[in-house]
Amino acid sequence: MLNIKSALGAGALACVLMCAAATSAMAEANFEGVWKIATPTGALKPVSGAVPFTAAGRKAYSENVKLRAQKKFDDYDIHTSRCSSPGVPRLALTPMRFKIWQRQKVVTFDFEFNRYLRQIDMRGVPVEEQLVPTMTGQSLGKWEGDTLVATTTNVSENTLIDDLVPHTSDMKVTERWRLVDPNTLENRLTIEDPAYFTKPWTSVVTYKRQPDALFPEDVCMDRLEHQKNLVPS
Amino acid sequence: MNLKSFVKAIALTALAVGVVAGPAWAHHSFNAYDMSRTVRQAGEIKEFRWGAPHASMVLAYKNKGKDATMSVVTGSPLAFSRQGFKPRDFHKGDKVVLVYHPNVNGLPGGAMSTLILPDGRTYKDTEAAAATPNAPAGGPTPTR
Repeated sequence: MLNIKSALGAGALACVLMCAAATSAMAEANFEGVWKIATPTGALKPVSGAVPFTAAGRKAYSENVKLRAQKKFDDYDIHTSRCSSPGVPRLALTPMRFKIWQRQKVVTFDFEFNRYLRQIDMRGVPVEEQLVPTMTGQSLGKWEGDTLVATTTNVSENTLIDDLVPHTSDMKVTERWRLVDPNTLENRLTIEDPAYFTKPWTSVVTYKRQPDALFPEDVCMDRLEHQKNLVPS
Repeated sequence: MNLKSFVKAIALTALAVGVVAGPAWAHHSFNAYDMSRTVRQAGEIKEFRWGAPHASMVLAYKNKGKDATMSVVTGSPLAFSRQGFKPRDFHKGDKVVLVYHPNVNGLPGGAMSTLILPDGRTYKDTEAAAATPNAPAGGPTPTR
């Protein structure tokens, strides 16, 4: 027969387990909703100093600056020339709204711009490296208290970090997403790519909550065609 | 189901498979390329567009002193990995030598035969090789 002492002990243990689970669940913040960048910009600026380019990184960057001046976008920025996904981390600078979903151990970013999509795998299980680097790469995430920490690798060299800064397929992006207040979301990004940067560098982008909305269809290629028709080459 | 309707069902299934398999085979055809000929061209990788069942590569090169580009069709990422290459081994600006079967319509580009990388390693497109007139009988080897 269960005596009082052991019943109390079991109760206390159950409470410890349940309370720990509840605390952990509460620690996972809820980012769901519609968001938009607070200060639109094309450049991902380091929180301090300049982008710490290596010689090879600076050479590739300077080449992009030259190509932009010549308007040869397809030679360095296929997002601008043919609506290809800006990829990670450049999607963080999307000028239009995006919606965050936290469902089924996946955090999904549903972008208004060309209806791009990006997902962070929160399952916490080992995954195989993708054979082919992709625009949004492979993003694995976990919760550290109320902060979502996502690490992205295997990003195609065909994307840029922002509208000019290049990277190699060895780039690693660590994002720390957290709510500063209920209506302000912060993304603290750290970029590592030893071939192009002498040290990791960090940038912060913030977003403001927007009214819930259904996003209309958005076809980037139609915009490009329209522009071509407006300005015949 | 009696025997007659069973046979009919089998025949219909075979027909359906044939209809589906037909376009799939046509998709792998090398009819658009002159498989009896190869052309050698040095240049730089401008872009690799990885995809299955085919990838393509854009080569930047000099045509009579002028900047030019051409696109060549090639194997899937899996076909490359079977020869020890990873998509991330190929970079924009890499100086390469491309050997290809030219387009029969005369436009630049065609089907990749071999690609020689800056370090001398060579990728050979086995599917294209099997479609050349000198290939052993039996048709293209299914590589992917």
